[in-house]
Amino acid sequence: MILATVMSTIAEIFKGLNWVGLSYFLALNTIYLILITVAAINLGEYFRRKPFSGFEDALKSPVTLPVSVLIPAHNEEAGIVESARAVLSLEYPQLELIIVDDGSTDLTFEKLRDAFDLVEIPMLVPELVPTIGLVDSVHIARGLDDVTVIRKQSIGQKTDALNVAINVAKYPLLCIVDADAVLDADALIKVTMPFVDDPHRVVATGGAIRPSNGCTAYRGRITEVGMPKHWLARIQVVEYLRAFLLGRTGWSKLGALLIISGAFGVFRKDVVIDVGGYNQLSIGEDADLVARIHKYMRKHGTPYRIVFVSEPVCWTEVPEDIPTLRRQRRRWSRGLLETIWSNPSLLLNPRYGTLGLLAVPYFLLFEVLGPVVELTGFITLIVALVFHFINFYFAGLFFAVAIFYGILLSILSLLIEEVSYHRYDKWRFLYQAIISTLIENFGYRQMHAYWRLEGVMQALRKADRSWGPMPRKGFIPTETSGA
Amino acid sequence: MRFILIVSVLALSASILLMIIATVILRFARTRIEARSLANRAELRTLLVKFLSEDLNPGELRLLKTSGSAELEELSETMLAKVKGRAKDILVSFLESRGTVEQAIRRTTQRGYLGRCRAAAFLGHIGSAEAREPLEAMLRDRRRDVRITAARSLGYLGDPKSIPALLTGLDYHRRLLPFGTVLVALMRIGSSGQDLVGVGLRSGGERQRAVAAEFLGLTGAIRFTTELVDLLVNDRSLDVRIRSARALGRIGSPSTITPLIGCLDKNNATGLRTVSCAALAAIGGGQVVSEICQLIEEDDYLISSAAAKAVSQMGPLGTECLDQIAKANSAGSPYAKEVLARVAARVVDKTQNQSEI
Repeated sequence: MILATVMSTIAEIFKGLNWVGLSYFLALNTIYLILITVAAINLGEYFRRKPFSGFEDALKSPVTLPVSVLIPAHNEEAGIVESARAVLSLEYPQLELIIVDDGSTDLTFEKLRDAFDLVEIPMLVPELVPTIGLVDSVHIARGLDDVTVIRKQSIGQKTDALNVAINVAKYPLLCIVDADAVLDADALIKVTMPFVDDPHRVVATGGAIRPSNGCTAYRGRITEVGMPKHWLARIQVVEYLRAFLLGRTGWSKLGALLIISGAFGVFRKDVVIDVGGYNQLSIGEDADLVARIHKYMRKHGTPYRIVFVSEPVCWTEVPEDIPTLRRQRRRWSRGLLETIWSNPSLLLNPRYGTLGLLAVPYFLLFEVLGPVVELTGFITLIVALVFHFINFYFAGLFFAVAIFYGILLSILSLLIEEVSYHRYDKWRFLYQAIISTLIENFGYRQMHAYWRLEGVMQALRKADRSWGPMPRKGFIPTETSGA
Repeated sequence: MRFILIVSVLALSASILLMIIATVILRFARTRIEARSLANRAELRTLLVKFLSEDLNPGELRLLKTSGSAELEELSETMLAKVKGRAKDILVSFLESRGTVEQAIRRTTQRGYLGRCRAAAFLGHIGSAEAREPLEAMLRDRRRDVRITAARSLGYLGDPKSIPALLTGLDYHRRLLPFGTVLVALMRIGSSGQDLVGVGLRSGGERQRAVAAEFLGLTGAIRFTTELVDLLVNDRSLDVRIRSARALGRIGSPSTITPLIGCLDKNNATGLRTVSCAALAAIGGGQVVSEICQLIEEDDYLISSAAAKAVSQMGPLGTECLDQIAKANSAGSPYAKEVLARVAARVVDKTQNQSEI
């Protein structure tokens, strides 16, 4: 009798937990749905206005602000020269390129030296923002304007390399680009347009990131967009589309953008210096910088905008093997938690408007704590099934609702991509993307939740902060481009 | 509860299926429409090119005249931006004969802002004098995109009479025009607009004075040197003073050396001092070299490095000065050494003329 009562109580608890899990999934996906809807409206508006946006004026204007493009590089021999060439051939009135070789042990520097005929110069690097790793040498390209390569000792943090680059940068706008990234020719002018349109308020802008795996590049430019060969990377194509392109467009439209990707973002140099540059102790340096900019601007009562521009595309290599992807996602999760942890005043603070009341709680509840709830939900579902606390039919319905809602959002993202940018123009790419939206829910999503949970645990344990190796394959050989 | 779950699953499955079908249909339709549109446009483009080169037979001319107005207008608009001389005249008179210009002028007041934008862009490319007034009225449009397109089109029209309206657009209540848009429009109008822009230099608001200073510097308006010096010394806006300094550097009149040297004073803002350095370097002269060389020894690295770069652009006198500082092992030596090394690597640095935000 007692056992039956206990079992019944446990069954009720499990049922309750499952309902909590389902509600959580529904809430998360509904927020996504709202963000995607906002993003779709915004994209529609953007495309209608595009013919009159004045990119040509900005390219011709003598007052368009010049940009320092900063590339931190650690063991990036596979693609660093391509990336540098891509930056130098960007359509922009005036830019300089600063590459920081952050203690590479491969041929990163040698490849740059050979490609750009580097010459060492004596340079006193000012300490506008703090740095730790010592600068070994500064090099400039012979006969080429505005190419600087700095060799420094690595402390295992990309942020330190970026701070050195900020100290050397001479232009009023800073564009941060990952070493493996390739920008579209018009990416820089498009991502800096908000600075041209609203120069007094815009302090930072971010561009869209898309996976470059499967694409063909020639002389630092993507010549043919393709889908990756590996399913793990194909899933990430859809993921980037859903979360990074549409999610960020939505947050930007709501005036609550918390993350500008470290792979491609533009910042006003004076503001970055005022907030003290990148925090070397932060592993999620991109979110941390944006959070501190929000705080700084609000504290000083200065009207400001942080904008995500969905069109300028930065192509970056995504991991195709599980260990690398696992490290990356652990780092992202940990970085986000540390950012919220170190900026607690942002949370539920009406002073920060939508950011404080909506975006930060969302990131904490759904992005940081999400994996805890997701995994608990899966485990309780399995336990409940094993001990017959709920029947298979009911569990199947639970699971189906949660999963199908996620798939619906992914397909919706694909539909919006099809209507708007239409970058994956071959039929087989479309099929592959659709299949990816289905299969990501079976295995990938659960693994991803586990990796994010590991990231949260690492943050709580204050584990080692080093990035770990991120092997790069580079692009499909240029000979195949036909260019 | 089970019923709700079942309905949810069914609804979600149906939605997913619908979305997939919609995506596939959209892709299919897009491919077909794009292909058809490309073929139509290619045919129309061939006709139009033949028409512009006066090589069209009567049958083809009839075909051109009866073709759909939207597609033809769109193509003509693209071509208007590319053709010049007689071909442009032919195209304009063809469009006028179709009543396209009157239609565009009527559309400047239509409800949809995209239509107004399109009309403004079209009028700018067609270059018709009668478009000026409607375009000037559009500078006060409630939609920013319309105002920007109208300003750009006024630049294409190239009529200096529109300068006062463009300058006023910089300060028109909350419906402002971006600084860069107005400057590019003024640059398209060219140096014939210097006198009218000069009025903005004297009587306009802060943004008008700033854009006027930039424009006059870029067009080398030497007769406005006195007014620019006045702004450099007396204006209450730092931005205007910086832009005046840069303009004076571009104009390059030796008579402005003294006021520019005055701006190097420690009490002035760093931005003004660095831009004045560059301006003085552009003007040149022995007196200037010694004045700027002193700045290399300053504590502020922005001033020291800007001064060193400026001196490096001043020929043998500058190089000699840098050599001395480099050997002196003083506070300024590292900057002098760096600049000398850059010169040796033949790296030209163009950064000094850029203002701070």
